[in-house]
Amino acid sequence: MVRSRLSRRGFLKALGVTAGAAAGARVFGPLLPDAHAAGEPASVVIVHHMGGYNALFASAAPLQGKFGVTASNFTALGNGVSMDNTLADALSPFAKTHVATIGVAHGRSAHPEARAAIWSNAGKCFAHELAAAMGGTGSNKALFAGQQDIDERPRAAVSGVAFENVTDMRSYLDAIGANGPGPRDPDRARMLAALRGADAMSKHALDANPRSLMGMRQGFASAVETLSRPPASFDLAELQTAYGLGAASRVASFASKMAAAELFVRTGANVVTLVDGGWDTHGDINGTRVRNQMTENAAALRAFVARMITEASTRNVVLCLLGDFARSLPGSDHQPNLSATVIGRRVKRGTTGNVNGDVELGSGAAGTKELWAYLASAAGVTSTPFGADPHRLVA
Amino acid sequence: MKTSLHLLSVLPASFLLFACGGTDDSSLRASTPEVPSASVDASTPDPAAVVCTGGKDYADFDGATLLGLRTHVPAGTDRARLKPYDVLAAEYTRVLGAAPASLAGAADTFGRTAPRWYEEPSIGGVGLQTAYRVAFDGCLAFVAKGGFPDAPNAANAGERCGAMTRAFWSRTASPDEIAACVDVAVVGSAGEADMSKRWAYACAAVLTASGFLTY
Repeated sequence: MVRSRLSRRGFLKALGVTAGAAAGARVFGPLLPDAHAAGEPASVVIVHHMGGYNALFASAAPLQGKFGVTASNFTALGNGVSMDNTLADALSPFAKTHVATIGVAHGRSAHPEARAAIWSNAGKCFAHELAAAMGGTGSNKALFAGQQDIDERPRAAVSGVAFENVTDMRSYLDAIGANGPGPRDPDRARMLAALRGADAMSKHALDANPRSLMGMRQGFASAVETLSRPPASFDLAELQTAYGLGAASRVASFASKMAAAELFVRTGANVVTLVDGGWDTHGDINGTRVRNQMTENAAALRAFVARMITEASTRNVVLCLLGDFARSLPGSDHQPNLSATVIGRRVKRGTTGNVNGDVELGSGAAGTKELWAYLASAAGVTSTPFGADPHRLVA
Repeated sequence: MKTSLHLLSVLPASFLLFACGGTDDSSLRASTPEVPSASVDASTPDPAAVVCTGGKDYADFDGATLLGLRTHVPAGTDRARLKPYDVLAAEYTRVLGAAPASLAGAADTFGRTAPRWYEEPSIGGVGLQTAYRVAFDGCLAFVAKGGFPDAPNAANAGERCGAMTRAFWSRTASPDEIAACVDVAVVGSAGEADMSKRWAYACAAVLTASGFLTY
């Protein structure tokens, strides 16, 4: 569901998001153990800008004179990568040398079709497939930060892996046992037995409602899996400080979603997704609106990148910024292709997503499946769940 | 905005559904249904299933046909819906006599929506664990009121599980469902020294099952 952005932005400003970069990547000590297909724990975090992702954030140089791009308001990072300063300023020096632009010629200019193309692989969710292919031992392999979701993404699990929406970080920590039990809380082992019982009591209804109660069915499996693991530990207060959240644990603002993404990564999730609304920016011919929105998101992005994507990180975290499609000229409408920004320790700086002055990709541009093939490659997945990676921008 | 658009687009579709409600309706017949839009995630329908073929088609604001978005499933399936957070306090009060104190703090977990806003409720593993904790909180008070004078065992658990499921779900549970409740009370809670807490574990399991959380 897409909410009005106005109140959220006001709330975000009120939070006074501050960067938590100083906390460093190892503030929590070694991340939780999690085997990975390539032997290195990895996580892919996808930020979907609901409505669109203007190419000025991924391919600014060719757009000079369009969308308000001038010679002085973008940064050329090298190897053909250029981006608007509102995003570039959120990246650490390390991230600026580990960023790629990936072109996606999905050919869709309507929102639902474009989102379906990005997220649905012949009825299976690309992200579920990726999370399953990444393996590992995390109990929650695919997590969605917040309630705002992508209607077009398939819900069915792949090899038992499906997104779970988490809307409160404190409840998530309760679920993984990171908060000590309160006086009226159940014992974890007995709660495990009880939830198995509740699942059994629900069998008839779950069988009779395979779609409308799909999340509940998956939820029972997830809860049982999580409760079967030893309790985890996590310092929520430090995370809240780093992202300027105060004492709030609700996952709703962009900053809280990025904080939740870090929480999920640190507790072993393979794929994390979050949606940021308000990017269907018709009429934004000077790019002012998208720059303002990126500026409001920059502090949380800066904190996440500085804390999670460093040379010393014990987990290979890949951050992908994308949207339904790029915005077209002259009216900032719907361009049937997309240029995504990908940042990660194994990402080789370069681009397959530079657009021309009309926001078009070259005729040989790859499609959506190849974007996911690239994300798998950047995450170090040794199998090829989406075929070969044609982008070859992995160090 | 998008939700408003969806609500508007759903209205005519709702009329179509109502129009196809009776199994003797001439608009219901066994047929090969329309091919869903390529952009929509829809499993391949069973050609032999009874499907709705009547009604007037409408175009969505993006030009997509609403009939193309129709999901084909056997009649009577997928009618269950999760109870939204806003009704849970009244529901717990109805069956336990009072809403658990911890329910208020779970609003964000259950995804309480803004006033005059609608979102289809959903629940996952974290939500189910939270639902269980809330139910357990309420059940501690519920069993303390009386009616559970002895520890659960094979002789007494069946009757009490039957009574709880009947009261909490507003229907009579099947033998398998009662057996699952008995198993929680007798086996799952074993080792708990507090007799009341053992019943609370079973009570909370019944309240976390679909019989209570959905309608």
